[in-house]
Amino acid sequence: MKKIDRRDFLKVAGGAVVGGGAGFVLSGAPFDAFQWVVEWTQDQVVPSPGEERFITGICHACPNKCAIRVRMIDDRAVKIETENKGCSMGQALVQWFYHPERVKYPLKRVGKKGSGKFAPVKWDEAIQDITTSFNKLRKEGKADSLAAITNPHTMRSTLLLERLLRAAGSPHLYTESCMCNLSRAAVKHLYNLDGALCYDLENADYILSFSARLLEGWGQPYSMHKAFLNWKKTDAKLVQVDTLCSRTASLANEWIPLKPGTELTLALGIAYHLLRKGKTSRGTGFADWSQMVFNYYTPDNVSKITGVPIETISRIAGEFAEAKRPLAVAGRGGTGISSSAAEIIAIQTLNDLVESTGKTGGVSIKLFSTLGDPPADDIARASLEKATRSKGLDDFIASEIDPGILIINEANPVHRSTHGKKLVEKMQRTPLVISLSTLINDTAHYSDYILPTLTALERIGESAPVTRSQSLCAGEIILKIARGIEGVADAFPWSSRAEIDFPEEELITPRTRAYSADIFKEHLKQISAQQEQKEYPLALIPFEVPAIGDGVGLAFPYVLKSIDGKIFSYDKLWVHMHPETAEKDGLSEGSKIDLISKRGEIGSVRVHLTKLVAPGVVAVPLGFGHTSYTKYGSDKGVNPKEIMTADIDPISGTADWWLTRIQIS
Amino acid sequence: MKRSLLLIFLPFILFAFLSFFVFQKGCDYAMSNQAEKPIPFSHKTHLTQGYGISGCEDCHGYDENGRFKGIPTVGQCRACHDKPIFKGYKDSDVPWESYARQPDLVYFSHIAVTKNNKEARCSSCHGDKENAVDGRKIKGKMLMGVCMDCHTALKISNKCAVCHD
Amino acid sequence: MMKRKWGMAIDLDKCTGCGACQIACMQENNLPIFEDDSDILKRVTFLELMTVTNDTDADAKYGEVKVAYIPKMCQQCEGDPAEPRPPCVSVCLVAATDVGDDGVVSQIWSRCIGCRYCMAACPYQARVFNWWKPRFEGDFKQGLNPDVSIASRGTVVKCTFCSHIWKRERDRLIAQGITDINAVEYTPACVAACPTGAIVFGDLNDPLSEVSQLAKDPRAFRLMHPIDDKDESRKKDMHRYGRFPNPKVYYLTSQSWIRDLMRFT
Repeated sequence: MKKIDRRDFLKVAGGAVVGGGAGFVLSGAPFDAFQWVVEWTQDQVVPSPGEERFITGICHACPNKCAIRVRMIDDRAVKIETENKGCSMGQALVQWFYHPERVKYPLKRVGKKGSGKFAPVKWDEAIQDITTSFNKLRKEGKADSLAAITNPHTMRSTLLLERLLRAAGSPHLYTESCMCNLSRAAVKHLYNLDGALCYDLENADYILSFSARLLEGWGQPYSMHKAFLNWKKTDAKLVQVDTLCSRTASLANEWIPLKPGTELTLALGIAYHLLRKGKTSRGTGFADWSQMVFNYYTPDNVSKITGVPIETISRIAGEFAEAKRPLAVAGRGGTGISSSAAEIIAIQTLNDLVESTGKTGGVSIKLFSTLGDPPADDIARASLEKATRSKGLDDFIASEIDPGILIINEANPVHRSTHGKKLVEKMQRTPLVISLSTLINDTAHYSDYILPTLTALERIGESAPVTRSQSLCAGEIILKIARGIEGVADAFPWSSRAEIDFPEEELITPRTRAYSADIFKEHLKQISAQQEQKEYPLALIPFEVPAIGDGVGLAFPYVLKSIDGKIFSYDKLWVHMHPETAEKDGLSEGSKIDLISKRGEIGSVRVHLTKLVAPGVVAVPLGFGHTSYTKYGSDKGVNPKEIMTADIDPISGTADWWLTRIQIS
Repeated sequence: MKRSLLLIFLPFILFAFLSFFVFQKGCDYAMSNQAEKPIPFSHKTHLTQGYGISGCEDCHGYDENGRFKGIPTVGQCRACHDKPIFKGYKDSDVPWESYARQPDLVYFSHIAVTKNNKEARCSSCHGDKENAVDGRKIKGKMLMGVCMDCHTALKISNKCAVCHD
Repeated sequence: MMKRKWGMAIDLDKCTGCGACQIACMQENNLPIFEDDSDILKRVTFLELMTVTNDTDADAKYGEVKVAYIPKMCQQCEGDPAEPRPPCVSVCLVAATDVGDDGVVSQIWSRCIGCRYCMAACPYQARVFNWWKPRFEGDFKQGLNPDVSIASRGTVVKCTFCSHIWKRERDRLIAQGITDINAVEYTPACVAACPTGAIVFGDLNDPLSEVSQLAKDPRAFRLMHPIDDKDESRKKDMHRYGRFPNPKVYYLTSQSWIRDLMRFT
């Protein structure tokens, strides 16, 4: 045979290569390869399939307790199903449940306070450490320096927390501002009862709302929507008094624009007319009070201060008096309420005058329930005697009291209170701060321990979905801590929260009333002085954004997706003002400005021109400007509470931030 | 001349076959077209020897909401006979992988195709499994056109939304 | 039973702008999650809760202006009922979008080449483009709905009246022995989530359904559809001269300023 030389080799090689190529093509590989490249670059996320089932339960995110169903695929919760119930927060429960930044284990601070550095620890270790501190504090006679701040929606864990503090020897339980605790102060003053105002809004037929943004997060969302539908059915009339044409004002039958912060004045202006019509109320000091109203809150005065025409005030008063079930509603704002106790008292007096108090479609007093007085040992009794409780949360923050241990129960006062910065300073000085929370929010950021709690989805009932975490119900955590403290454990004879029989809340009609004229005399002077401020010519009025409320919703990406472009877009928060206001400072749509008040400066924000806002007023959205609230909620916009008025109401101990005045730069 | 042709042709054929085989296997692997069948199973035996299995659905059933359950679990097998070959498997395990897979963007509903009285039978798409004695693939990749042809013949809508989401 | 024609009637007098519909839609349809979703023009949402106000009117004054909320999703335009061809379907180069037998306009993202011609053609800006790769960080993947496939980057997506829920309900009925596909009834995510029941969904081909009755209500109007206000003869003329989207979503309001705002001419 001929030797195989180079040419032959090339022929063989060529044949092989071409053959290989032919085989490659004919096998369909190029198509598959291309398909593989396409799929690899698409990198598609494919949800895992599974068997579908539904879990029925109750959403415990707010007192409405809406019935919900959770659609499960195998053990994954994928959707909250309701039949026209619930609210936007209910729909976001799945995102809350599965939030990647959820606290999964008890966390202990490892860096400096406020550095945000935490490391997971075991539950036993954390509880041990905490109870040791409690025991030490009590033995040192400092039991009165125990303090706690709680979220108004956590009714039951708050009861346990209150019991813990009392049994330990401290009266310092404070609630974030809400209608419950603001009206508590008013109710104590007016009726000498320990309860909150409970409005029967659904059955009222003439609702006079003083900047209570009923359809934007005030009260509980579902019951408000239900009431709204009932008003349409029964032809009830909603009259919204508000400085901004808020969502509620737009949906109301009548919107009464008024100058910022003058709701109290208007209420008493209406009282004037009611008194003139012969309406009275039994109670001590009524005569003096009526005289005060006649002297100071005359139609001329009131109209001048509030900007509401004299005829309108008289007409509204007449309609209110003639309605079958009139109801005056207090509580400025939506989720975040800011009203002075005096304002709530004034508005509640209107209900007394038309005899709506205690009737259907009117207002009753919901007594605060309690687990009863806990047994107090010697340390506790001695401590309670010397302790002076502040009147409210902001009063406590502004006071000289430096807590030895501070418990934050599912709350975020650093962000929501106008005294947030001061609270941070206090927390820096507090040796032990414990936050019970699902996410690391602005307040938990400065804590020493973060103990993970459950989202509403995990509390819907039996067979609720569970995450692979060590979260516990807030009530259980408080119980665990309490049972580890000597002298306090006796007050907690239950081994788990399920054993506790929580009392029902009682609704009663007040029997006695006490009217005081003094608080209102002062108010008129204050309001006039406010309106004449030259250095800070504009008023700053807050409003809330759907699904965000006073800040809670911002951690959820689907909530971020829902924010309107003229509220937050391209990483900037927008404030709204009337074109006339803008013209004075030479501003136009989109201009960047800073807002400056007596307390400080925030910025920059963009200007949106709209006539929904009165001239001389700047409307600012609440809920933004978190320094720490997961990567989705942090550093978005600014928090106006930092510059809002922090003057503390003497009766409720809470700051009234609705009276802020600013200048623009 | 003949020698030259042979020199080119023989390697050509050889490598064509080789590369065809290699690439086909490789593609099957890369595109996950294979399916592991760790426990040998004969459909024919189970269907023809009076085991009381009347049709495909007895083992390949549906959930209450109409979702197709697919390949049965070991627990379903154990319900009739516990064999040593099942040792080490949990009741909920499905050790057999399926050749029939769909991209995520297809919402294929078995129950809609088999229970709407329109003559489709399992074998129409899955081949003659009744007489299969092992787990080999019978019918290969089925592209969209096959579904559409059947729909056209049976006068069922071929609008995109019928199958896609 | 007759073929379905799914439509919606949204009562703006009942809408409080709470946003439950938006979040329900996002959760049901596996919408992509981004850390910064504040770029409004590039945002991927099917249902936009539009804030509308008449404050830009020349004679608008503080005290008289109002605000309202309009949930806007794909209006499932019909075009000419004899030969349905919505504006987006008529321009799609690759037939990635088509009108279904029940009137719902489908959007098959896998066929879409991302030219965005349909986005330009849509009179309601209801279509959105996936500018970035959809990502679901960590446990967010657990909350994904397996009935909806997640469109890849570079494709257009839009509201499909939750047609996957229709398929789910169809399967459920077949499992119960009911095989007539025209007997299937379902509720899209936004409709079920609305706490005031402002969104009503149903069959426009059924004259007794609530949505058909609401569509004929004097308060009803359609977005940017001036032909609705014209009389029959003028309507015929206008039909000859141009195509009208003929959407299947009706809005109801007692406030005339909203109707005025949502007209074209």
